[in-house]
Formats: sequence, structure tokens, C-alpha cells
Amino acid sequence: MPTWGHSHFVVRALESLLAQELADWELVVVDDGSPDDTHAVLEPYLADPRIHLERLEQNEGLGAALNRALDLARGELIAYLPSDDVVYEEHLETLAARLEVEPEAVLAYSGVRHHGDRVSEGAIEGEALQLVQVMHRRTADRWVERDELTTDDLERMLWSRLRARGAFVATGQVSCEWVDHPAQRHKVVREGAYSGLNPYRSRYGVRRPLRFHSSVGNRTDEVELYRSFRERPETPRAPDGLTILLVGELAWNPERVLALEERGHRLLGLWTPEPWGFNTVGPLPFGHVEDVPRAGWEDAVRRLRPDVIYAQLNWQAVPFAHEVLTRSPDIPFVWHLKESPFHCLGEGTWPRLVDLCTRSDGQIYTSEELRGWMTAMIPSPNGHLPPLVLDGDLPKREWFDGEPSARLSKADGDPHTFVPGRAMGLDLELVDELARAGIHLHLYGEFTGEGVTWLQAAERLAPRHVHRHGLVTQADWVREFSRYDAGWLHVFRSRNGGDLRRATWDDLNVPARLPTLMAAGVPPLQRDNAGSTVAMQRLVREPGVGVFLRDARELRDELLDKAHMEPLRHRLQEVRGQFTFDHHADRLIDYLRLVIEARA
Amino acid sequence: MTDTPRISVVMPTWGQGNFIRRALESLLAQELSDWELVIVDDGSPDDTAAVVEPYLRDERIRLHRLRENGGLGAALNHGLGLVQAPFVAYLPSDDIIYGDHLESLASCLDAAPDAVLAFAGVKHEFRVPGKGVLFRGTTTGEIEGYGLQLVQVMHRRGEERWVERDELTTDDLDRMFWSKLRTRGRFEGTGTMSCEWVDHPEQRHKVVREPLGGINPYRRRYRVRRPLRFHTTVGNHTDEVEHYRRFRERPDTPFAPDGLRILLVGELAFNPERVLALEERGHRLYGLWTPDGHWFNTVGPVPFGHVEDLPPDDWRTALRRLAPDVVYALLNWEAVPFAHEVLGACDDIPFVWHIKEGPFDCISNGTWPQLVDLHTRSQGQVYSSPEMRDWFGTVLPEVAAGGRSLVLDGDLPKREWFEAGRSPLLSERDGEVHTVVPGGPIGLEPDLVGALAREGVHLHFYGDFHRGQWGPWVAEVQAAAPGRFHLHPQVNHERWVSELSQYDAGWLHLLRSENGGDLRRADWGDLNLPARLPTLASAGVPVIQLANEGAVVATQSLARKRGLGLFLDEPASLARELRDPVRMAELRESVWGQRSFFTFDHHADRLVDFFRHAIGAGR
Repeated sequence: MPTWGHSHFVVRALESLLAQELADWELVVVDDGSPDDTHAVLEPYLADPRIHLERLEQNEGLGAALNRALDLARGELIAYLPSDDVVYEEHLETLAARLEVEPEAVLAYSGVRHHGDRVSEGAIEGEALQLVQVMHRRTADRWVERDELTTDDLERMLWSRLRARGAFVATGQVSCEWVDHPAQRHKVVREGAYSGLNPYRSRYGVRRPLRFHSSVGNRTDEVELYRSFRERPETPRAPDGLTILLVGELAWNPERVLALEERGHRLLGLWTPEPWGFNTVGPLPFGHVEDVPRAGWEDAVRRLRPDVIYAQLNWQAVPFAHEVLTRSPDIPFVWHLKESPFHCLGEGTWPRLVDLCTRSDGQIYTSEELRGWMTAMIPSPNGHLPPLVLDGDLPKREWFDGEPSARLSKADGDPHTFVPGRAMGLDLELVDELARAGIHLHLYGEFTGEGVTWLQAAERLAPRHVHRHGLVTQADWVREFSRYDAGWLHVFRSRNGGDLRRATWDDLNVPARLPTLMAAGVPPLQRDNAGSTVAMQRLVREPGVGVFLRDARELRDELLDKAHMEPLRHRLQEVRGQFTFDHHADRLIDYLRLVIEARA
Repeated sequence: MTDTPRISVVMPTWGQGNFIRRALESLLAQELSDWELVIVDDGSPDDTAAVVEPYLRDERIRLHRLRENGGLGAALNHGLGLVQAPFVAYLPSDDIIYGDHLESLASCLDAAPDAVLAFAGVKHEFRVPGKGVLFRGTTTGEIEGYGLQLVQVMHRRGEERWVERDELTTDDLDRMFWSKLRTRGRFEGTGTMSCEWVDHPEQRHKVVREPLGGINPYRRRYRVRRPLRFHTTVGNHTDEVEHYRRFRERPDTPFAPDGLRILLVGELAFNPERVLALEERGHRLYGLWTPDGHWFNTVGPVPFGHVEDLPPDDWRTALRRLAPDVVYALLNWEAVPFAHEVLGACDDIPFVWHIKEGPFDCISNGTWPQLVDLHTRSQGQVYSSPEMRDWFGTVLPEVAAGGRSLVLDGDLPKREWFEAGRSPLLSERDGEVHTVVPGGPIGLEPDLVGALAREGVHLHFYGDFHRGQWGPWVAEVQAAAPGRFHLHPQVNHERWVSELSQYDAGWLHLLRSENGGDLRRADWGDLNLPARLPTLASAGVPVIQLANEGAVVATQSLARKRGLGLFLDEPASLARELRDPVRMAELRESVWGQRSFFTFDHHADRLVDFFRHAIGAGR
């Protein structure tokens, strides 16, 4: 029985074991670093000599907890009972009996009730066999542990290796329940809203970088990605260095904040308890940031006396940032907003966003357009510091360092474009139009769900011009993407006609892929929205580094026109450094100091 | 300003201090400047007045504050009574208008003298909380499914007034006002999009409209102290004014010498007035209500009176000051988080927790830990059925062993609804058998209804058959049981006895139990005593349910023990039983004779004794 933080569930599971018809069992409970009173709840049950409790000091993950139990278990047959599940009285008996009559079988599974009153005779549709329904023979095989991989896929964690050793047989009887509730482990692992890598890290307080691949998402290897940052020594504190408390979440390019640490400032972190998968929260996998424990954070913050709170960034952080704003009135507070006021309206957190923008000591907005929109809606009170404009999620400069590759168009004479993420707004009609003009489209990512359907349709439509590629990490941005003539930003038609009140999020947003393209030195490509206020349009028009789609044939000519593209690429090389966070770090620090002075 | 402006803008507002600036700034940015604005603050509990204050320096802007929330209709009428201009536009404080909005609407009315109302195109982004998904919509007229919205309208000033709360609360603006204007002239569109109906979770229509909104969420948000007449575009009509009149208008019962001061915490579900049985016995009732919950979870200010609410904003202080003799927290899963919060604040106050529906909901929605605390840390637990108590015994054995529990259905009706006389049986008129299903026909498969119909058994269905969910079922049953299937509108408490007593028997949920006698395998259908059981019992109607031999089923054991009904094995034998006049008369008299057992009043003394026991046990 692996368990973590289930003190309100574990009694139910134990009682269902104690009620088994078969009495000849031992139970090894492995408490994987529970933060609650699980131990106290289990205590009375330890009087039963069949029950042992093994406590791990820190959470090590399901694989390690199960392996510890496998090492301790003495039975010839191993069953699992997660502490939030329930077995019915004949469960162990029927599974054991099945293995007895099937000497070739290595594993037996029962039918299982799930999601209320649904039942399944074997694996639940869309799921691997679940722990509660399995009994297998004692084995030297072990579960995949966290150092290797974190996943919700139990097949990958163990079953696949057992399969190689013998048959899996069914009892054909429903004798247990996989109890559906929101705090189940697979739900926090599997990517979706409020789940995935960062929610997993946050829940279990994992201090190490993760290798993470859920059954629905992309593979992430933080160990490799952040090695150089993590393994370097701390920067000595500068004489006038600030202590900066980061609050909220750090989004896609979290290691950017090290640009502040590299300048001799000390970073503390206090993270939103409800991040989405891509909202990076601590314990940070690249080091050099000290976490403030969320429980009792007010006392800890009083003790650590930060010079300034730097709260950020997307809508998921708004409720927690607001809580910190309200409860830390004595510390200068800066609020940095990216995506987005529209999301806050939809979530019902608009009132809190307004507080963050009007009651904080300083505000930072990701684009001129966002600042304009916010201040048109909520004029700043007189006497306040003017807000700063800075994209809150720019990458760290190291990712701009790679060696560029030769462009594909040099080899075949056709223009090659690429999409560094979801193909936002690239409908099939446009794909077709591009292909007819001889423009290639390269798509990157691990395609799942609706993405696959779209991709397959695009490939059917333009088999010679649509190409798919795997995911590319920051370290390969330059090498991989520099092969292209241009890269697609979100494709959309703006309709605001220059009136900010009519703007949508597409108009105000600076998508993360813009700095990605800049890193690779590739001209950004977008629909021509002349006459409307569009942040990503202005950002590339001003330095003259963008390409604009009006007509596919015209675009082909433009991309192949050396006299036009070479100077454009040259200008891009000159300005691309401005799209690193490092470039703006001093400016940001100056703003933080202004805020601190204004309070003093 | 002395001259009459060209346009009067009416802005109703409630609790939108952090929205209203957006709306005001969008008005100040209008190309047309010849307007006046009347803001009607409908009893905002927040800092709306302070936020608006700086804007009042603009002489075109006036603010009128109503002391108590009177509802959208009254607020708008208040505004209409104050304005001067020939044209009236609306700007709800959470919406925004674009620069050309007022100009284009006014030009539209100028150009169409026979039009009484002009409407602008409107932008609307449908947003789904928790999903971050945006669907964008713009329309030049009505947003599909919503009717014309205030922000997009300008009309000629007239004598018509909005429907107010005393008459009706609804999300249907057509019913509230537009329909009155339609009789006076046509509606003309500008054809351009010049405003946004801003989608956010706190919009009024969302708290009005079921299933996310509804009568109780509405009452709770605006703290409406009066009974409501309530009818949304999607729900059933409710008239609390009539329904609760006799309870509300009687005087308070004097406090008995040994009376208890009981604080009700949570929600009162379908039969909320039952708690008056406690007040009638000389106990004093106070209320503190869950801030969440569905439209059918009744919360205060209760519409039948005699319960004094604690202030929701500062209930901890009020709780300490009141120091009630006992907290009686209840009832369904929606109340669990708030009841748990109150439990944490009741250090010295005896706390009794009453649960109905249900533990499985708590598990699936993540409140199981709080539910466990409510059972392990309270001084008394009340379970709605013996089976539910025993189920908890399998998961929290130490609580079961504590012996501090009572079994009592938490949502029994008040006895007054049982008082009417019986009507003659339909079967006495035509010699056939007539059965009734007073609500969702759960498990009544068309094949079964057809088979029974061929045996001369009629089925009468009472409910919102015309609204979606049971539509396909109705069509299938009509085909399967021609001439023997009948539809009736939902029947209120007042008519339970006279209406339902016409039937030979009534259907409970037909659920095949799979538990085989093992409580660990039980599901909610096994533990539940559905609300329709006391409804049928009130009229002395025997109940029909599936024969679930060998399984633990709460309705089955109760009906078997007390002789309340019939058990369906196969249709022909059930029909035989139903046609047996002697057997049926015996059953009917058995139910009729025991019906007071199904009133809450019958158990009130037992419950109070349990409170006293919990108080004696102390904390």
C-alpha cells in the first residue's frame, strides 16, 4: 500500500483489507513522506502483526515507494492496495486462486468498479491496469523511479516488463473499486488544466529536476535542460543587491530570473498553489532560488524581510498574488501581467486583477498595447509610478548562443517556413494556399488529440509541403530553426481598427514563439493587420524584421527575394538580443529600486 | 446641466466596484457627448460609491444609492423615473461601449421615426472558467439564446416600466420590458457592432438561470429577505409568496423555558420549512448558510420566516456572540465545505452533523476529507437511513463505535402538506390500474411501461416533461403504451394529497442493486431514501420498487418492514398484485395509517432529545 496524504481515505482501504475472506496476508504500507496525520491514523492498525509501516522521510514518488515495499514483502504473490481504493471481501482470494490454476501466468487482474457505478472486466478504457485490480508473482522486476521517469502510465512503469515474462489472466469478477476523486495521483500527473509537470512538482514538493512524460503530453527532461544553470555556483551577493521575493508562477521560460541572480541579487520564491502544467513553480529545477514554505508563509516572509515582492505572471497566479498583496502590506509590491485580463474576466478574477493593478506599488505590462488597454479600462490613480513595459516571459540569453545551420531553401530553391508550437490559426485553407505557392510548412511537437486529426488532414492536403518534426528544446532552437526562411506567429485577422477597447487578446499578446524565432534568427511571419493595433505586428515592424502575409504567391516571391531578405535578416541579427530577458534585467532592477524608494 | 440632453444613460449596478470604472471610461470616451448618466446603486455591499465618487465631478453624471437591494427591475425603474432625455440607453456597470455606440444608436432612431427601440451589434466572448477557453462571437442582433441585452439597446423614453421583484424575478429581459415596448413600435438594428456584453461568472443572468444559478443562489447573493416569485427562461415557475404564506404570517412561537437556541448551518434542501417544527416547539432558530450550492439547496434568508440569519460577512464574530446551545449542520454534499469551516470555528459549541446526499458525491468532488472530519470531530451524527449509517461503519468504524448517532431522513416534509383529504381512486372509475411517477422516471424503461400497459396498468408522469431531459423517453413511452400513458404538470406540496391519492401505487426509482448484501459494494441508490417516498406516503400511495432480494437497499428494507408497497419481479405478476383489490386496499390503509412517520414533525422531539444528548456530552 503506497500512500501519500490520504489520512482521510486510508482507514477505508484498511478496513476493506481487514474484511477479506482470505486472512493469510501481510500488508506493507509505505508512507511516501505524507505531510498530513497519516501516521497517527495508521497507528492503531499496527497492533495487527500482519501490518507493517515503512515511512520515507521525503516524498520519492510512486515507483520508489512501491519498490521499497517490494523489497520488504515476503509473500509469493504481490497485490496492491492504494490507500484511496477499496477491495471487496473475495478480492485476494479470487486473484490468488486464479494464479494458482494458471501456473504460466505472471499476473492476474480482477474486474474493477470505477467512476461511481461503472464497471470494467479488465483494464478500464483508456487506462492501463490499475494497481488495485492486480496481483502478480513475486519478481525481481522493479518499478520505474523518478530519476528515470515520472508518468501516469503504469504499463510503462512495470506491467510491460512483466508481460515479457508470462501471461496476464483475468478473474472475470468485479472485486474492487478504483475510487474516483480529484486528488488521485494520475490526475495530477496527466497533463490538462491544473495538472501536469508543475502541479505534480508543487503537490509533492519535488526538489530535483524531473524527467516527465504523461500519457497525454510532451516529454520534458529538466535534468538535461537545466544542468548548466543548476551546477554552477551561486553568484556572490552584490553590495547593493536586493532580496527579491518572486510570487506566483514563472511560465515557459522560468530560468530567465537567473539573470537577476547573476547580477548579485538574492531570489526567494513563493508559488501559487494552483498552477497549470506550463506555469513553472518551485522548487525550481535550475536552482539558485530559495523557496518560502507556503504553509505559514507570512511568518517566513516577515523573517526573510525581502526588499521587494515581484509577483507574476499569467491569470493562474492572480488569486494567490492577490492574497499575498492583501496580506503583505508592508513590503513594496510589483505586479507583472502577461496573459491576460480577458482570461481573468472569464475566470471571475477580474476584481482581484484590478486590485493588483491599482493597489500594487508598481505594475509591469508585457506590451505597450496591454499597458494601453489596462490604463484605458482602469486609469492609474494620480501620483503613481508609471507602469513599465517588459515582456514577462522572455528567454534566457544562453538559448540564443547556438551555431546556425544552413537554410533549407538554399538546397532546393523553395521557401521553407515552420511553426514552433501549436498551429494557431493556420487553417487547412491556408495550408493549401501555401502549398500551391510552393511554400513548405514544417510543424513541431508531439501531436495528440485534435492536433493529430488536423495534422493528418494537412498532410493529405499537401503531402509534399507539410512536414512533421519532434519537439525541440531551448538548447536546439538556433541549430534547428535557423534552417527556415520564416516562422509563423499566430495567424489571425485583427478587427480593432486601432480602437483598443475593441481589442482581443491576440491583439495585445506577445506570444512566446516570437522570442523563440528571434533566438533562431528567423524572421517572424504573420498576417498583415495594417490599420489595427497588434502588439506582435508593431514589435517586428518597428525594427523592420518581419514578413507579412497578404497573398501566398507574393509571400513566396518575398521569401525568395535575396535583396529583400538579406538586409532583413541582418537587421534581425542586430536586434535579436533585445528579446532575451537578460537584456532588460538592469532596467527591471532599476524599476524595482524606484518602487522601493517610492515606498520609503 | 439645464438643457435636456439628447440621451439618458441608465446604469444599474450592484457590487461591481472593480468593473464600473471600465464602463464609465467607455462612456466618457464616446464621440457623442450630449448625454446624462444616472447610476443606480442597488444596495452594493462593496466600495462602489467610493469608486464612482471622482466621476461625479462631471456634471452629466449622477449617482442614486438604494439602501437595500431591490432587484434589477426596481433599479432600472428608479433610473427611468429620474431621466430627462428623449432617448434612453443602458450601460450595465460590467459592460463596455465603443466610441461610436451612442451616436449610431441615436442616428438609427432619428432615421426611423416608427421605431421605438434601436439595438446595436454586440461582441461577446464566451469564456469557460477553469478551462481558459474563449469562443468569440459577434452578432448584429440578439445573441442566440439570450435575447437583446441592456448594453446594446436604446429606446424612446415612455411610460412603460420594468417588471419588479414583487411580480417576478427572471433573466428574460423580453418579459421584463422589451415585450411592452414591442407593442409601441418596431425594433431597428444599427447593423454595426459597437459594444461588448462582457462575459464573466458574476453576471446577473448567470446567478438567475438554472442550473448554475437559480432561486437560492439569487437569494443568497442579493440577500433577498422576501419570498420570491421566480421563473427563468429555462426553469420552472416558483411562487414562494403563496407557498409559504401560512408559515410566514403566523406569529413567532414563544421561547420555551427549556428551549434551545439552535444554529442551522449549511442548506435545507427541498423541504426547508420542516425546520419550523423545531421553532413550533419553543426553540429558537438561527441560520448561517453555505455560500455555494445549487438552486435546489434552500438557503436563507428563508422565505417562510421565524429563522434569524447571522451576517454572512462576519459570521465568526456573530457566532461567538450568539454562542448557540447547539449547531445543527446539514445536509447534502454542497454544504460540506462550509459546514466543515464552521466546525473548525466551534471550539466550545456542540456540533451535530446531518448527512443526506451523499458520501459518494463527496468522494468524487474532493470533499471527502472534510466529510470525514464532520463525522469524526462532531458531537453527534445524523444519518438519513440505517443503511447509510452502516455504510459509514465500514469506512469509519471508530465513529460507528462511538454511539453518537441518530437515524432520521434529513429532508422530510412539514406535516401541513399532509392535511388535505383523499380523492377517489381513478381505478374505481374505469376498473383499470393507475400508477404514478411523481418526478424523474428513473429506471422505468419503455418496454416495461408497455408490458404493464398491455396488462391494463396506466402510468401517470408528473414533471417537466416538456423541458429536454425526459423528452425522448416520453416519446418512446407514448409509442409503447398507447392510451395508457398520461402526462401531468408537476404537482406542488399543496396538492400532493388530493392529486396523488387518486392512484393505486407510485413508482420509486427502479434500480437494480449490485451489492449482494455487501455494504462495501453499495452505491447511492442503495443507501438513499428519495424525496418522492414521503411525497407518495403523504397521499397514502403504496410504492413500487424492484425486488432486490439479498441486497442491502434502504427503500426496500423500509418498505418491507413497514408494509409500504410492492416489489417488481416481472410485469405480469406485479400487474396481478395491482389488480387485487383486497391486497391493494390493505396496503393503501397501511401507508395511510403510517404517513405521519414521513413528516419531519413526527421526529422533531427525537431530534431535540439527540441535540440535548450532544450538548450533555460536551465538546
